[in-house]
Amino acid sequence: MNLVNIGLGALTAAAGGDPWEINASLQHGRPGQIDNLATAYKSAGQSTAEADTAFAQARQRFEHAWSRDNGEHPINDAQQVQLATTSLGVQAAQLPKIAADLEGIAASLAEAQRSSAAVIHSLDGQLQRLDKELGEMLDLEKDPHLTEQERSIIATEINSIEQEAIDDTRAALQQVTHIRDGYAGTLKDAEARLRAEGYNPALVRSLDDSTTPTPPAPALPPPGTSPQDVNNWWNSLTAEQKAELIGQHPPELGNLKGIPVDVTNEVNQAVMNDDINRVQDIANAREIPVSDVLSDPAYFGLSANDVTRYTNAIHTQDGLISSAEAVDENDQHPEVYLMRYQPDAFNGDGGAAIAMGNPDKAANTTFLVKGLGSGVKEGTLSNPDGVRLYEEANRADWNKDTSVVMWVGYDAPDSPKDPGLYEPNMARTGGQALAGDVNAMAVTHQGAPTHMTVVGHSYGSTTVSDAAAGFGMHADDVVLVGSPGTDMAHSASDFHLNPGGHLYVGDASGDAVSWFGEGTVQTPLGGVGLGADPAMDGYGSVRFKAEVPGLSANPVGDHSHYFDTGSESLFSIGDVASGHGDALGHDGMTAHHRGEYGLPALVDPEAVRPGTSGHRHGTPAG
Amino acid sequence: MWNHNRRIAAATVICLVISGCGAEVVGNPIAPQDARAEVIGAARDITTILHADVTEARFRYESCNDQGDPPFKGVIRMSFWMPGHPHDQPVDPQEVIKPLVTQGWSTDSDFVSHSPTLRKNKINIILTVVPAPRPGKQLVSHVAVEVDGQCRDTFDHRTDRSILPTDVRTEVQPG
Repeated sequence: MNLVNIGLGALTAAAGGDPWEINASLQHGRPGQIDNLATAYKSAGQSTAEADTAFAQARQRFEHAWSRDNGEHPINDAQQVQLATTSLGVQAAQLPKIAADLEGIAASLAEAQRSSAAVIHSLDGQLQRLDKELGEMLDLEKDPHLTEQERSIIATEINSIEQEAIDDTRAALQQVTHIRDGYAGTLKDAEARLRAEGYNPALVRSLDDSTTPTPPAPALPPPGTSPQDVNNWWNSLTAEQKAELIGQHPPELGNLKGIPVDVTNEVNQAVMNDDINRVQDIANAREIPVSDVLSDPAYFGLSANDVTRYTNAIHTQDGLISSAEAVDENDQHPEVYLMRYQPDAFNGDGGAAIAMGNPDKAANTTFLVKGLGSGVKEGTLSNPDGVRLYEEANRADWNKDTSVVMWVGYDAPDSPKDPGLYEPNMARTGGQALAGDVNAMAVTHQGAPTHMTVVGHSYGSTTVSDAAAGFGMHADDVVLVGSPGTDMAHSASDFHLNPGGHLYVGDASGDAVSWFGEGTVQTPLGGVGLGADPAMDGYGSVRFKAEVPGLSANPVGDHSHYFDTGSESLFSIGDVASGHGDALGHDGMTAHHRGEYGLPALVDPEAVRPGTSGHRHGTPAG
Repeated sequence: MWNHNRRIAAATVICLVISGCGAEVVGNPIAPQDARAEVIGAARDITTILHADVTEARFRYESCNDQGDPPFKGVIRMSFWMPGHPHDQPVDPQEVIKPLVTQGWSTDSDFVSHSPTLRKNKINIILTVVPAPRPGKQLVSHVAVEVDGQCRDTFDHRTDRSILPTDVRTEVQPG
């Protein structure tokens, strides 16, 4: 908090204590770690209905109260459980009771932290308002033309403001002291019970005590460090150092290439929660809607960048929620990972990547790159196409783990009026970033290498082409749908795919955008797109069926249905993404290229075939 | 100059195509609450016919195109156990499909291959009768159903976060 006219030292002296200090000592406790510990005891113990209910109730309280903005990392809980059961002689039957007590402590601490933080936020807001009012009065007071009566009124007003600041601070002090004392009482009772159950409460104290020394976190590798070197650095850290770094969650850590995705996810989500809470806490403390805070951020001490970060954090959170809706062949939802999070990148459009399923473990990984109008700010992370692709790829090979990454990691053209749409510059810049992210996956992937497919739609297909042809992206297969041209790539061989890999192309005959590649539509000035048309005969691609059923008067209507449920295109991409591009022929999904049979480029053999809908891979049971 | 002129030509043609005709035309739009109601009704019809024990049901509005633009359709993804079957074994797909067909769910859906899909009153459903799980995994339901409504809701659900999924389990329980 930055006060210009009110001195904090004098204020706390007059109020009789420092509420910020008490809050800080409360916030130092680590409810997340106590919760982890409780969960470890719960899973190690023998279940009893009574203890289970107590645990479940405490857990519910904890989840309600705790926000992960501390970014705490699990301690070695299993080790602690072992220590208690062996060294301390705790009986297995006591473990569920210990779990419930610990969970109760975690919940009480989280509740105390939340309440205390709200009081402090409210106080901060009040003091900032009073500080501003005091400044105005002090300015007025400088006016040499004031009458005595006016001076007297101003002096009274200044006194009144100062008194209000003292009163507010004193009230906040009483509230946080009350909250802290309440928690201390709860802790004392729980510790007594824990002692009776044979558990040494000092183990909790180490997580709660504000005097616990915090070791300094190691410095991050400098920008430009290779993913392999980043990975070596990460692996060289001790468990404590890793935990400390994750706890501090510097935003750069979540976007370093070469760090496992379960780590980057934890860091990025903690940063995202910070971005949300920065605004939400102010609204909560003042009991006003968030929209009020966003409409006048300066009044609440927020910058325009804070607002951008909040807005894109909400879009990212929505993307995580939407992505978690996906189901695999076993009707289970995948874990979702925030692999990349740069909410203020690209002039506020934001960058992010969300994975459904863990790409460090999956046998098949697919990156999906969208084009015109895509971005975090535009809500692309909540679009259903990534979920549909995940589900179709899973069904195409139900026996393997699948991961699909919604990659919104480049500055895409915003609208048809964006001049960037008609130049490849944004695709080239994006292609370089994409190549870096895709190639880094090979460093963190566990076990046999994943089968990597990169799918580009519309302008995203140009980006994918440039990543492969110009920036060394290593993929097994590439899929381009609705491509306006492949810019730096002039044939399939320019994609430098891994041995056995293929370039697959889906272009609806009625998709006007896909006609723009050189060789299809010719104006008197030449082709009009962003390079060669990969659906042309002789390019070297495998073309799959991607017709849209029904007649559309809209020449770009067919450009917008490559990810429809049941479409020829989604089904075919599912085959490729599951590592079974060779099944396209067997599934009757291959198509002839434009210009085959010696026909002119404009004559598309697919144009005479009515599109079909109704394609979905079955599972072994049907 | 040649290249510059070509880019201008590209800009002109693409702009004409995209900005002139970008939005999809919906002949007979329906309100968001109707898009929701039609899939809720279909989902409840299915659970009632099968006496299903619903474990999860989520509703969301999904865009009907790759851009995420309107129109939207209502979509429900739900999971359930079949009555009288142990929860550690898969069920026979025909035990699920036959009662639905008897009650008017037609196999003559917009979906024609590869997976059981049914249609009734312009609502498509995709049935997944969950197979025996891989080693290390457990069954969490016998059947997963995706209920797809009509692409006739022209409200832009991105503008008010109504695009987010909501729990509709109590609304689709058999009744």
